[in-house]
Amino acid sequence: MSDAVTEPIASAADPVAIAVRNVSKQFRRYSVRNQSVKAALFRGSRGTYEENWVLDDVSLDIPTGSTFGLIGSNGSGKSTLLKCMARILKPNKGSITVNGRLSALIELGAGFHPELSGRENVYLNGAVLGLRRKEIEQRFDSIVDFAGRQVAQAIDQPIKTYSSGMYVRLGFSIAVNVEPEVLLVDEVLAVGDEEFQRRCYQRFEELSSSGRTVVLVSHALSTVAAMCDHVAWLDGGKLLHVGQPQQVVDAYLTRLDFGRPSVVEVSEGPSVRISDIVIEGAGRRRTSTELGEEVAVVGTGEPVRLRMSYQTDRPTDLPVFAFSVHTLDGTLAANPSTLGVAGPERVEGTGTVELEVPSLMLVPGAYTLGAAIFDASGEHAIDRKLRLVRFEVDGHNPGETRGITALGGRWHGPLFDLP
Amino acid sequence: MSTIAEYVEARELAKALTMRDIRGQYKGSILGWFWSLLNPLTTVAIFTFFFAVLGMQAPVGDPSGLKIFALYLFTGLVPWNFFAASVNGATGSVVAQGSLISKVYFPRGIVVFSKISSVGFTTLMETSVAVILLLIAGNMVLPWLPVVAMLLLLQGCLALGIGLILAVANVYFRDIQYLVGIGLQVLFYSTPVVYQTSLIEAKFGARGLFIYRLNPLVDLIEAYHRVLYDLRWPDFGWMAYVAGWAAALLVIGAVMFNRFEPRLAEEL
Ligand SMILES: Nc1ncnc2c1ncn2[C@@H]1O[C@H](COP(=O)(O)OP(=O)(O)OP(=O)(O)O)[C@@H](O)[C@H]1O
Ligand SMILES: [Mg+2]
Repeated sequence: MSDAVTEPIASAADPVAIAVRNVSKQFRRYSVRNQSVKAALFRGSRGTYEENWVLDDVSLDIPTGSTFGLIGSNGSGKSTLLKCMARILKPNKGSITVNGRLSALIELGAGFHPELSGRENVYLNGAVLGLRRKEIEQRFDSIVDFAGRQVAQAIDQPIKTYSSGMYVRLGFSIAVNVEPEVLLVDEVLAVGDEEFQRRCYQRFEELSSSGRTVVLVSHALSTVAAMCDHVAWLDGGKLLHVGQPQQVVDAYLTRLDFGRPSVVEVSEGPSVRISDIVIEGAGRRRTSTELGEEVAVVGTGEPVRLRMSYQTDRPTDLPVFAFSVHTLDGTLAANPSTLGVAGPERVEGTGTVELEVPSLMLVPGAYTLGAAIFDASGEHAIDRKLRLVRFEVDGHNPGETRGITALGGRWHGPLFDLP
Repeated sequence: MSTIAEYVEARELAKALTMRDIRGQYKGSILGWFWSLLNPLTTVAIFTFFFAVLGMQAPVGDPSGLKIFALYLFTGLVPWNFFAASVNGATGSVVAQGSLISKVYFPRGIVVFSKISSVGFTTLMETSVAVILLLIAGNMVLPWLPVVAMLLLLQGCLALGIGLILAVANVYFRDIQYLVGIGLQVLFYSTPVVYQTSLIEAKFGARGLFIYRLNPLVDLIEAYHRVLYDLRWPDFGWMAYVAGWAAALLVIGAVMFNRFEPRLAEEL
């Protein structure tokens, strides 16, 4: 898959991509609605309604280059907030400033015309997203390429013959290939298959590493926690928390589990930062088919060393170091930390921490490695770099290829040896 | 509320929506373009037949000397269809594009505009057919084509003004669409498409004719008859009057549309 390389944004953009200031939005909830001249004349009114505040004084800054998650229960106002950002809806109070070209995937196939072919719809949709015909022509191949083989084969068929997953693929592919500076995505990727979702998340990472901003609404909390570097939690139109993904997601889950709001403490500016993460195995490397770059390859059961380098701005007491290994769909596979095990009294200057793993018991597949530094309690992250390094695991045991963990056990019973 | 700059910015979208409308209209029917012409031709055939049965005389073009009823009717029917289809289409345009409006931001007037321009495209097709038929019948209409273009443009503005108003109204009151249908039927017979203005003068006198001409469509349609059938200039005084209507409706339409535009996505 030859994805177009996303150009970094040249100009040093505003530090804030979207500034939301005291936004409130109200919808009319009609109890009687006279939607015809006849009814309105006879009854003498357009209907009776009560005013329903769906967003209530929401203020928030979305930093440029971040992947920002928005979570909350059904009807909490996430889509409404996204639509206000995209200017589809106009807030009753407050203001929203967006810096840069915005592309929104509120729902897929916006502007798709069922009778027209996929090709014609690409042009139409590109125009909807603000592209000139020439610009779409340049991107056409990478759009179709990214959408996948199924779509490429059906590109001249009427779009009404597409499956809903193909719809999503094409719509998403257009939206990311217009190279928006700000991309809003509302819960649409769930329709795509595993493989496509992975590529989407990978694309989000590319976008944000090239300085573009992604705002993601999703109910897939583990994905949000793994993908995003900030998460906001909306509840009944109010912004409850903004902060570290895992903390906000945990708080949200706690609320779901225990039915009471929990408090998220946001730590002040980081005193320790992770400067590098390395995985060191037997020294094998391979060019990843998806990424097109070299990644480390480790065999199941082989020893590896995980190493992080850190930099301190000011001396920090009792830091807790942790690594995280995620599968590509965002499931946390392992999360070893120094909490209650080891760790320095205080760190200063720069240094490295290494975790020696005698045998890596992961089933073959691709994984990402991240690292975090927490405060003494192990609850508040001082710095966190998720999914920073990609690595692959291969193995020779055909009996253990599924799941995440390889157990490496020995079978007993009426068995035979394969020649 | 959208600014003019935003509309200029969105011209590509206007183009794309127009093309989508045109393509969508003719896709799925093999006869495609042919069907779009069949409709006015059928109307012409029916009226010509009945007028022949009733023994009505075809109007004589002055100075062209043309005396073919079917062509007189056709030169009136093409602009009439433009008006009727664009007002009708524009009225439903915002509601019809609801899914687009509630998912993407763009200046919403684009949907009204592109509806009218796609109808305009059909009109250009029909006009070409009319021109060919007129040339065959011996009317040298080619030098008059710039005037026809001006008339079409004026008519487009008139339809856009009316369309902007009705499109918004139709969001709040969905039966506007039906009322427009009825209104257009009444207008068809109070406009000189199938008959001549001289008929009104003969029946109701000069004063009656003046009142009749207050309807801006009267002189607009009449202008097409004059330019294409008679081969002479339209009445400039009355054309200025029509232009006044177009300008006024365009301003009122734009103001009203802009006022309601921010709320369209949630009212749909
Ligand atoms: N056009 C509308 N008119 C009236 N009420 C609306 C409209 N759109 C949304 N609402 C109401 O606003 C509230 C918030 O809706 P919203 O779509 O923002 O929720 P959400 O957080 O996206 O939920 P979900 O997780 O189900 O997608 C809901 O109570 C909904 O009924
Ligand atoms: Mg939603």
